[in-house]
Amino acid sequence: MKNILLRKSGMSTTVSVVAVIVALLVGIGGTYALTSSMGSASTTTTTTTTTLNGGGVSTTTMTTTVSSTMATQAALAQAECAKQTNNVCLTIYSTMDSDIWTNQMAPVFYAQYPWAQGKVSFVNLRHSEVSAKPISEYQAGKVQADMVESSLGAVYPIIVAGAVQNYTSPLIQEMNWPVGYYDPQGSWIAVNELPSDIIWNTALMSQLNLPIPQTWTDLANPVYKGEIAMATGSTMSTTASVLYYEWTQLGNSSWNQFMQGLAANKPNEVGSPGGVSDAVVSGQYALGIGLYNDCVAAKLNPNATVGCTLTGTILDNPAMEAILNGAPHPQMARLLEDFWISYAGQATYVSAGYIPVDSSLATAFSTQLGLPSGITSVNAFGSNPNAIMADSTYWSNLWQSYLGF
Amino acid sequence: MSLIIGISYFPVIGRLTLTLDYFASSSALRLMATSLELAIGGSLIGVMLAVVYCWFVARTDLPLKKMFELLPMLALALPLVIKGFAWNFLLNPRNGIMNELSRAFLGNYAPIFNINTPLGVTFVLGLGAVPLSYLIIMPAMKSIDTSFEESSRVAGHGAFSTLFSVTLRLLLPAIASAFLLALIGGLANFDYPYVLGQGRVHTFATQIYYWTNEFPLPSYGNAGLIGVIFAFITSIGVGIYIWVTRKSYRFATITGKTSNRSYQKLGRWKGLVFIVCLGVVFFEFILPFLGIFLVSTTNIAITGNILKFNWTPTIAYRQAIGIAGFYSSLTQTIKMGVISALITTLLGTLVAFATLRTRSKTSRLMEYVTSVPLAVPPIVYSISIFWMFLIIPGVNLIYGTIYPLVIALTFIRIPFSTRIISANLVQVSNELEEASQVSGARFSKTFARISMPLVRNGLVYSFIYVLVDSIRELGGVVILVTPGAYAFTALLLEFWTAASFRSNVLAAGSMILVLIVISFLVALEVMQYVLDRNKRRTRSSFDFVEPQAMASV
Repeated sequence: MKNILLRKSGMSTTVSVVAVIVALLVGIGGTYALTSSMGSASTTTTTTTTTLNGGGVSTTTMTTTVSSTMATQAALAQAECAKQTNNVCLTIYSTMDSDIWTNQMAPVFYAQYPWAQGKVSFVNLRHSEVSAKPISEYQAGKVQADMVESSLGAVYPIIVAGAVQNYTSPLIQEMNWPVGYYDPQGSWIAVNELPSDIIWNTALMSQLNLPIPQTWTDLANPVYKGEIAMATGSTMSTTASVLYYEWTQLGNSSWNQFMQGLAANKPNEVGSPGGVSDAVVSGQYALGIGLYNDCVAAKLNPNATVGCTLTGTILDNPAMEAILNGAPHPQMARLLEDFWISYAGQATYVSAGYIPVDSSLATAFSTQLGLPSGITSVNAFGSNPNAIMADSTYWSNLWQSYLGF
Repeated sequence: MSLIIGISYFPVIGRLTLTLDYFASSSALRLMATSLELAIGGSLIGVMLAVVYCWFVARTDLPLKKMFELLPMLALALPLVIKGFAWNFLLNPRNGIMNELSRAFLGNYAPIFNINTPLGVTFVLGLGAVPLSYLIIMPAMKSIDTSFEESSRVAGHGAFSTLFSVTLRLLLPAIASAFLLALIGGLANFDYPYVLGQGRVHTFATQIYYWTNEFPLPSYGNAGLIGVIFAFITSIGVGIYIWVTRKSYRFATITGKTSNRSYQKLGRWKGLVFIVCLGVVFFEFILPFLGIFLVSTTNIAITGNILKFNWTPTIAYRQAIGIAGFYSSLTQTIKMGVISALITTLLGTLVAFATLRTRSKTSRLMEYVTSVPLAVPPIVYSISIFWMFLIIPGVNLIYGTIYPLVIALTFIRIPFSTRIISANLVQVSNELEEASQVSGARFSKTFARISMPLVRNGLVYSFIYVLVDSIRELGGVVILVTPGAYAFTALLLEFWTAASFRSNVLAAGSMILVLIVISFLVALEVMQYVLDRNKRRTRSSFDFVEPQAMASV
């Protein structure tokens, strides 16, 4: 739906186009840098100045530093890819909408690495399947995918099962990747932010005469009984991030009260957080716990009757990727990881309407991404999310004991 | 076997956490109760509708009989998972088309229909059971000698009294076998409870799938244990079914005796009966098909009490084609279907010949062995084959290819293929084969040159049936799909889960699959026509050719 909406809106199209142009320019710069720095230890700096449309004109300057290590990685990946006979040299399991990959990311990736054109297989899976499938395949001794992309809730069980290999991209240092957004051991790295929000259908809310919720605890208000949609919390994804964050904020007793109120409202389970946003926008439910970028994208459609609340902070449960142990194409997986955290890759997230981890891009495109000024981003699972994930069974049982899913 | 060995000897690999106590717990009893409730309810609805429909079509002077005889079969063109999507588009409580229409015209907010309930799933299972029940009951209904009914009427009984005291009693074996088969199908059904239940209606089939996607780690042990219990329950049903129908397909119903045929005059009820029959077909096929078609081609928006239909015939189709993996999964699905149809038909032919043309003691055993897959629900096959990869060294070499799916699809369909070919074979006298063997031909030569051409209609039917059913299958492949072998139904299911409300794109993808299935069914009809025409030609010159043909073998 996000892409349909993006296509429908003139302004969003402009933003999209501009973002893609930025990505391409940076990509071309990167490619030039790659080719020129092959075999040497020197670095190349590319500066791109872009004019953004959308009511006013602003200028942003971005600097890309591409190390020779990345060029070496590209060479290794190309050699690996050339050996393939079945025409696939990278397989990604992801919860991300496949349209995003097909329309926003793949064209930029292929522009940068033309030899990989059409050789990347993107498999869209549910949150629980993104965990289960690589683990099953690892246990069956026949790993099929090279990397997974999802939130930590899905990635962590794969790490615990031993099905992830460590890789520390040199770009982590060069891009100044924030602490808490990568695993120091190298098992995962965050690639974009996924803030949670309360999303509501303005037409339905007014038809049902419901007040607009301002905080997460408002969801326990009995007026919303039967009207709330949310994905399961038991897979430690978006819903879990909200419930866990509220637990840290409210303390045990108030949180318990909040959960009882929420459970009494009999929330409706929807397959995924993206599905919640779609369900609310399409009028199936009045409100729900969704993803903020979905709401921003939906709002670009002039006919959409949708609103959303960030509840005072950007409550982030970042999307991350991990390279699988026994991956048939580890060099390609490393290359894609490098690409995703490079400026070119981060810009593709912007063009898809996602908030990039790279703060300079996020700031430059804050208006287009619908980021209100003065609100800071917080990792919902804290600075050491691995610790929470280690107790995921406890937490998922806890959510289930209240909500039943 | 791999399932039983797996959960018995490798509980740690499969993360078997359930103990036998689980089966006495309320959640297990609820699971069993829901599974049985849905299957029994659905079978009752399906069989009742089929009996009424068959009686109207076969026993009354209903207008357009020929059309009504063909229409119930149309529903076979819709894969179950797509029917599930269609009913969800139509009757989900919030933005289902029928509820939107009621809001627009009646001004109510509360939904009138809710398909996402156990009752809704039962209703759809019931409609889904109509074609199968029809296929079993209709020939039996047609073969009843109407003189029995006439005698009843002469004795002063009315039409309904005759129906209940004579017709239905004569039909009892057919009704029982239709009910049992629908019951087994209902128990094994994964598609409807998963799509329509939306995580709130749990059956054995959906629970197996959920265990394989358990968080934080998949539990193939629990899925396998549930699968064994599930297969045990369905095998009871299959055992009864085999006992009821043990000789039915061994005998051709064609006799030399001319039976009387008279029809019940409907009189002033003709219009109502016509509407009832049309209604059955409407709910069984037309409405879900229209639902999918409408959603794939039209944007429906409601503003106040005005419903707007915005005709956008190609946008969703273009987007559906753009879904990652669309082409590869479509080609892989057809490839899997063709390979499994070829293997299944070959195996089915061998089994049918061994059962009907040999007097070996093992032939009866083989008949029962090949019926075993009937007792194993498709999703249990899926999990069993996955267990093979976990416990048998070397088998995993084929993991990631289409062959695990082909194996599952082949074994699931063997009983059906065997029955289709057997039904054809019993009508062919074995005199020609005996003549060939007397003339000195080896069994293989007789089989290839005499037997096979005689049952070619059965072979074509078996091939197309297995091909179409393999393309439609979801439960049997959903656990086995990999990036290198992705069934199209599984791709649609993933898309539905990830973006369940991009319904127009999902509907467009579904329509493409429906059109492919329809094209195969049309191909079947064309092939049957060509074969029949050739047969007529061959027959006309057969008397002349036969002695030479016999001499040549």
